[in-house]
Amino acid sequence: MRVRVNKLPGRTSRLRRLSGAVAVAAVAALTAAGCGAQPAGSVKQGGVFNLGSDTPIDSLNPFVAFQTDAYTTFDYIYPTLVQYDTKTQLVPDFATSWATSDGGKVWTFHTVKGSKWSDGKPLTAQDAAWTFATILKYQSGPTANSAGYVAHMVSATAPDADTLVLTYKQPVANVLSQVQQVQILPEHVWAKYATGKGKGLTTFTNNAPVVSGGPFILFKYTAKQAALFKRNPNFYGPKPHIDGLALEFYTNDDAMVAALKSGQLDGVEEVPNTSVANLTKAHFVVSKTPGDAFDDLIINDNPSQLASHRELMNPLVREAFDYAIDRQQIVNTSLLGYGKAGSTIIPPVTGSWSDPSIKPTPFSLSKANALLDQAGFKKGANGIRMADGHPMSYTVIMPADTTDRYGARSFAIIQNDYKQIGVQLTPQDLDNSAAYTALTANSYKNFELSMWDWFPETDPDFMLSVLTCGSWNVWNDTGYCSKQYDNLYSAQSAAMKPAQRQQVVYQMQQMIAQARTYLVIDYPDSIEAHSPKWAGLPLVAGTSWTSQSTIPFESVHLAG
Amino acid sequence: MGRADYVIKRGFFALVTIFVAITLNFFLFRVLPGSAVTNLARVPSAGPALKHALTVEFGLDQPKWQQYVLYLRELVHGNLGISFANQQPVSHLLLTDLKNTIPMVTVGTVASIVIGVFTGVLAAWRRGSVADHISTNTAVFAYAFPTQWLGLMLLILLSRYLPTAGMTWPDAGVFYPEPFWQHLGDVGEHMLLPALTLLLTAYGSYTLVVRTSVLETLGEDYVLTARAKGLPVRRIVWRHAVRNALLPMVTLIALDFGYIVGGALLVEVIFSWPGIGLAMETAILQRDYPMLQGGFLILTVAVIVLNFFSDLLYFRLDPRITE
Repeated sequence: MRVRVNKLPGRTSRLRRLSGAVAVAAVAALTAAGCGAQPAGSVKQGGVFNLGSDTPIDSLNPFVAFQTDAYTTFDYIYPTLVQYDTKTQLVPDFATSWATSDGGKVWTFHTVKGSKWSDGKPLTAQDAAWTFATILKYQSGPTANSAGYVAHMVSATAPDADTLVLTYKQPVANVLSQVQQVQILPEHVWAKYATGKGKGLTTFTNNAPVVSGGPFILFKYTAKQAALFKRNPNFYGPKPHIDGLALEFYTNDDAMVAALKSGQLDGVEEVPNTSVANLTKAHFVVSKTPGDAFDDLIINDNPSQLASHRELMNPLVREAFDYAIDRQQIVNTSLLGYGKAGSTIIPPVTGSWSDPSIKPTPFSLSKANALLDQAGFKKGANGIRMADGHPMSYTVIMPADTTDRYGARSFAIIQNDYKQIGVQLTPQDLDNSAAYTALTANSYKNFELSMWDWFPETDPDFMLSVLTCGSWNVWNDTGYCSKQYDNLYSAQSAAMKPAQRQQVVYQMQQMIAQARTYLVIDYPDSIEAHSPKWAGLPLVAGTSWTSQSTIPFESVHLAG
Repeated sequence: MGRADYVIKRGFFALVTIFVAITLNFFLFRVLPGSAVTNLARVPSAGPALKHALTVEFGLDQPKWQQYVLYLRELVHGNLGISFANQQPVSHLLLTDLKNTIPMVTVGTVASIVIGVFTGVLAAWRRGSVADHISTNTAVFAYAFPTQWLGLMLLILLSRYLPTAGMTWPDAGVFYPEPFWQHLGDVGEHMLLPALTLLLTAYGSYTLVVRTSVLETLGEDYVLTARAKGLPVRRIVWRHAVRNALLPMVTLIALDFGYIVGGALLVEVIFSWPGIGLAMETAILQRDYPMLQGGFLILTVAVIVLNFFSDLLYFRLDPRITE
């Protein structure tokens, strides 16, 4: 399962501003108010926004949860040091400013003074220090799901109530995007569970009402049904205009759209492509913005794969497969026009991290046929080519992530075109767990092809990490493993100068594009809708309900 | 065979079946491709450490037979284990799911039984008439509809008037106090669409079974005798034919009630009803073995126990069994 914790594109201007970070780089004490929310006096106050979601909260414990909406909930009820604004730039949140020293190994954050939790207890930098230190302490056990956020961290301390110091053993380029994903927990609530082996950190249910420090308080939660939030009067940032937010969980997209149309919901966080025209006609506010997700065809990239399909390592075969994908047809037919043809694994919408020199491969069946002829794989009487004594007939693993949406339509287009180049594709539908097991079976030697998708984070680090050797059996779904690529990955994560990091990130994308590990098919649009009775709901890189920013629901208000 | 022998024999078979089902449930889910750890370890900051930590935490690093022995030992002590997905006791989670499922599925099932029996008797009583044709064909029509299609059609047609998801309005009783009767009305309103879907897809089988059974009994000698005695038709049908014809319904109803605890998966998915069917679907996708074992154990026990009771009921209703 591709977890959509951060399905948002990003830019790097904040990082670029921090270039040469040896010196102290004080950041202007912006507040989130200045980045999106309007002053209370100018807009209509009150109301409860009912938002439909298709991913339930699986746990209210950040050390247990893995579903998208759980993380977004945490973002709205717990402070984070920084967040993304509507221009997808990292801006201050609980941290008002920060600075680096010792070559990028020490990061000092200054936090909002005089803040309080919803229960009236002081909210200080000590809470932040405790949260990071606890993740660090138990990272190989109870807090392992957050271990990546403290990679290379040595310590987290709070020399005073308003200062947090994070120390790393080496310079880390993406500290800000990492700390953005760590919600600061109230030490006075959680400390008693961080004892001994820390088992209590995962068994604590954290039931509502939850002691909150974000713009909203989670005060009622009914498992698999709904989560109710009310405005937090103690919030250190701009107060939301709405009285509350009701997050309602749906297991059926059609029911969710029907509920929006009938007025049972005020908005839905993800609209199926097939419902866009209908909702637009009914005068709902439908936003269609470039997304950072991509759909891909995976070609087994393990050189030791079974001999029965080892020709898949042949660069000519991979190139032919690339040319035989009619990306524009897929965008037009399968995505109903809501998307763009795909090229590189870092989507263009993420801004300067995406290498613009990598373009979508044009569709050309004649070129694809010529490449396979050049490889010496002749067509048999049945029209299927023979490669090394066996027919070029492959099973394509289709996880539920793909088939649940438009993936089957895209596959049908590819299957038909591949038939014309003498390659037979047979889909194998599996649920996500079984699909990943099938991909990794026998150390990535068994599988042939697969169609899946990715929702990369704003910072390129995560998406690039997926193809490292260390990610085998965790995220890697291709069998790709290259020492050179791994070295580049380490280099980009330590490159403190954005321009320098950008070059390395480009180089890595080019390696993958040339290897054709993923044939990036398309970048589907991010589509959501809400009732016209609401206004001022900004999107942070295409999405309003996101774990990257609380600005959207701090800003939304009744229209008129 | 004496009454006590019969009960002991059926009870023994029930216990053996439960034990076999427990064992099968344990191994069956582990044979499925995929892994609980794979799913839960796929968060952006995850690395091999998380996968290892979860494997150890869930005891999946132990040999399967050791896991089985441990499972049986805990089961004997009434412990169904801890859910892999959210680290909470399975018994608590299943209890909540059951409390959500039972009212909705019971309403749908009871309504389908009542309507099915009524339309079945009507069809048999008026055999060959327009009422028979309408009743039988409607039953076949409804029975043949896929549940998901029927549910979606109802949802699309009635979403303007009825809630499409969940058990209550999320803000009910939050921003204003809600008396119990109002809460009941709220749940009832939300229950209408799923229960109606269940009713429409289930009542057809009752109609057809009852019709056939009543037709058979209407041809029996004692019915002829009753007619010869000049008893009113209504009394012949309801007092003599229907009462005897309902014997096969006992098994059907008992089995259906057993499945009530298994929820109605498709209906729960369509209407986002947070019951045990939905929980089992999620558990299968997440390979949450403790939840699956717990859920299927309850389902197995319910079906076997109710089947056992239907056997006892047969025993009482039909003395020929002991002969």
